[in-house]
Amino acid sequence: MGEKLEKNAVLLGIGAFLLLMFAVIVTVAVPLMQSDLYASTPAAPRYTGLDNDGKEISAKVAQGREIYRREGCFYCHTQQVRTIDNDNAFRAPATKLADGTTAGDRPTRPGDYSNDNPALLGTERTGPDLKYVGHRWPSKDWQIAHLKDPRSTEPNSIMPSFAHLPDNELDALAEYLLSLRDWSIPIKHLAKFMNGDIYAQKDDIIPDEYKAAQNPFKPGDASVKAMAEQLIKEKGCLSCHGQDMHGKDAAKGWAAAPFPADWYQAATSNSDQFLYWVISEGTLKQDGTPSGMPSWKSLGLTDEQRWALTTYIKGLKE
Amino acid sequence: MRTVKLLARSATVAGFLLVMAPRIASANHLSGGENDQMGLYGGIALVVGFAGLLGLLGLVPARLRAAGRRWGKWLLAAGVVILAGGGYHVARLGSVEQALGGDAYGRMATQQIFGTLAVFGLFSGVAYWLSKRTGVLDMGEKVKYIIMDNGDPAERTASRTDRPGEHRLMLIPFAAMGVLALSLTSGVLYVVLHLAANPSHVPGPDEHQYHNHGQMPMPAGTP
Amino acid sequence: MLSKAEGSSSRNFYYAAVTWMAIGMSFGLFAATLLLFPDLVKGLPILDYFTFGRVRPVHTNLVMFGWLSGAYFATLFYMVPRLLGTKLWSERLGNFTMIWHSVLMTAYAVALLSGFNTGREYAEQPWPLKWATVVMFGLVGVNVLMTFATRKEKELYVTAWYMLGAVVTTPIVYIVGNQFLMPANPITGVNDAVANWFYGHNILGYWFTPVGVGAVYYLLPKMIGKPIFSHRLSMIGFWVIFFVYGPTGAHHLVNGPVPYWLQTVAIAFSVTLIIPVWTVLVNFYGTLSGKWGTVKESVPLKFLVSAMVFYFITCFQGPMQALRSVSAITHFTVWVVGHAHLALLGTFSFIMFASIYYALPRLIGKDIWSPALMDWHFWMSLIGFTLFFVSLTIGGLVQGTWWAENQSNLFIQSVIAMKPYNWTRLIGGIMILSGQVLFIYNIYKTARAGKAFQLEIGTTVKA
Repeated sequence: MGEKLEKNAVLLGIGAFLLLMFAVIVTVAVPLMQSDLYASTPAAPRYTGLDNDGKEISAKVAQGREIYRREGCFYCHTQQVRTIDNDNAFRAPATKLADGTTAGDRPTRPGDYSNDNPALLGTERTGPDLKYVGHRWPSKDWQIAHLKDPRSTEPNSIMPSFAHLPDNELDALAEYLLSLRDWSIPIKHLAKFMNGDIYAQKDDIIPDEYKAAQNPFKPGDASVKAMAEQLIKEKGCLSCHGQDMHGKDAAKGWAAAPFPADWYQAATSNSDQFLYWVISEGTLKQDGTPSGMPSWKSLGLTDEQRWALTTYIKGLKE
Repeated sequence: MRTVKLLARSATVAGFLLVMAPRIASANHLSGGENDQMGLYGGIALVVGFAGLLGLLGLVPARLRAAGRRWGKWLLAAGVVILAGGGYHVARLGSVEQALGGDAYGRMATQQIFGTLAVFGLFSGVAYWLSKRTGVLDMGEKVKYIIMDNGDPAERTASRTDRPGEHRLMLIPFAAMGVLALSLTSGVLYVVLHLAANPSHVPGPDEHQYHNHGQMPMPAGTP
Repeated sequence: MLSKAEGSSSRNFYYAAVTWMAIGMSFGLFAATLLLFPDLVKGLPILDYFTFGRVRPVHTNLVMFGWLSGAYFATLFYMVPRLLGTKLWSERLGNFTMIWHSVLMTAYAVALLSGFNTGREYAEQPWPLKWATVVMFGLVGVNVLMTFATRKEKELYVTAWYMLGAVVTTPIVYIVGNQFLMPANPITGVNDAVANWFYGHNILGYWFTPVGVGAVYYLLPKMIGKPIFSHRLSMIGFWVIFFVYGPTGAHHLVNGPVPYWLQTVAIAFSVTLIIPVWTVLVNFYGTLSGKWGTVKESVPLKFLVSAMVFYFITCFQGPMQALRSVSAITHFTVWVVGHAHLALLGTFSFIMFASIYYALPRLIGKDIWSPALMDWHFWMSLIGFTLFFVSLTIGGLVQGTWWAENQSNLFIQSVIAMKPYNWTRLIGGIMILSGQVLFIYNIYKTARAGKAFQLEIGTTVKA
């Protein structure tokens, strides 16, 4: 018996080893052989080469990702939208592309991570999912301000302050956060106003669906005005557009273009449809990156609410 | 020699698995709303099967021992049948639910179930065969006494004998486990059923709600 | 330092382990505090870098590798020779491993605090430290395997099975799950996450579980003077653990961007994990039958009984939260944090407390200095941990329900709702850590001023 059992120690080791190997084959080796797990989708973020708008991808994106990893951001923020409704708010907005197909509005797929190393999928949501945060908060200035003092934008946030990071690192980190988008949606295709003299614009630059839109409200409707005033207060519009609603420029402490618009001037020079479009989609800087004006459609304002704001601005008179 | 045979058999199992493991179609995301009835089937199968196992090993109270030996293997078999049948049932349900997707989901679901079952079956078979060959099962219970005389002195409490009624202490951990398990189950069930009764508002394609920090003031002075 | 004295490496490893426990748990408490006071370190020079994201990996790595693995090494070095009727193959190598371990843990802490983080949970160590970790497991492995090779007792008791199995498999789990130790990280994309969770779950399945359960099978007969209930059943538990644990890793990615079949396989195997815990519990109850009174008088036994309760709950909760519909709610919430602590603190750390109280007097020939402090240690740990676990579990359900009901809109509301749970978690954490401070003080006094350990051979029950 002793002889038999002597062998058992060896056999036991081999047995345990083989059982582990079985697990390695099934759950590590087979997925590694599954080529469709690597095939990149157009939505996958990239870190080198040109982006969909034909621009060189900034090296800051990759640098920002390193900082994201170094500071352990992934312990509190996931980067995956699950296949269940619970995660709907974290999806990228549904966007019609030039070729008529629709991008966004779906859970993440394996191919969305093909260029990622490490994958940074995350396991905990102490804070919100960030896979598509670039769609929700497209302003770099907002991102940097939020990183420096999270409680300045959300009083109940429990995120640590990253004010101690040097400016170039904060800049790179913000650049990375903006790159967390559905990359099949080119920034230009978001159909946003590119900065220029906004008051001189004609309606021909508006996308068709906005051109055809009709304001359901009549000017001077008191309930619409009340709704708009409530929204303006809630969303803090005037912190950028000025308490007097005359916008801000260099003289009023806004450092560089694009400047928050003067609502009184916009009321006389732009159409309802134009205002509705800008409020809905936000605007871009001249280089195609998002300005401080976010897409209030993406941020949850309904059609009705956005029309109310449009009506309110149109009704402003000196 | 035995090792060689073992390796050969393991290689066969691994090869079989590679054939069984679904490949391309399965990476698709076909999910949402699928059936968790398998948890129920699995739970019942485990309880029945484990009871059978204890019976077979004679690890039941004395008056149940004869019955345990007699019915043990049938209980074990019943567990396996519930597991296999339940798996098949759930897989069928899955295929119905996903039929509209036009994908090979149904086939894949049954394949997954049968693949898993085949693996379990093979494992138990190989493990049983090996233990027969090596005599592990015939070692009996002798080996457990070696630790009592290994020269490592036992704790002073080891020689203490129970006073009358002290066996009731066993109820404390038993109750703790029961209370915790029940609380967990009822907590999860409450949440699941509560959510089922109050389905969340599903926004249409045009009114996607994004999480909002309530307000979004630009910090004064920043460009 | 490289003593050849019998038992010296085991003793030194126990001392090192409790030291790392104090450091590791302090980092955990610090992280829990940061969740309530996020601006705690803001504006402090250098300290302002120690935000939650940098503190958390230091906590997890030090408690997993510094404390628990350190205590496991000590337990291996204590139990394996005694099971095999021989001496540890090389005490000198064991003592060298202990120094290696402590230097490595220091390197872990420094590297992680400085931000060298690979971005993979539980595999955060930079690659040179990964090599050093494998060397550490290798050195222990050689020592244990050589002890097996030179053994006098030919029949292998179940504890020896578990420990041998763990020693053979753990380095493989570590290497496969850590990008094969390559600096270039060859496994990318979602497969990175798949490999990461193969490791993240199986370091538990092939290292923490077998050694912990093996230790229970050793300690229990020694404490109550009665052999275990059924050796065969424990064997079945052994094979089932080594079979079903492996493929369960993907249950960490349920409903996520990984292949559907992989999730199904992981869920099926996770549910089967109930079997090994049942084998352990049946054995536990069977063994203690007729000896329950002993629990009253033995703190280590109290720790073991509590550990068994928590082990049952871990393995009850685990399969449940692997199911797709449950995972949909509990995934990403603090429920999972509670679950992880249930296994590593409630179960395996408690088992190690019992091991230390049992083994240390035999290693240094001194009785535990203060039985009263032992009791305090137990009750502080038990109550503190229960508070901690319950608050995280309920908090997780609250979080998950909010997200499900609102499809994750108005996320900040779920953060606000977590505040009371974060407070109870902190209070629980303070209690746990205070208990450990008493424990360490007691160990210190035992080493310095303990009375001579009285050998008293327990009665041996022969059937």
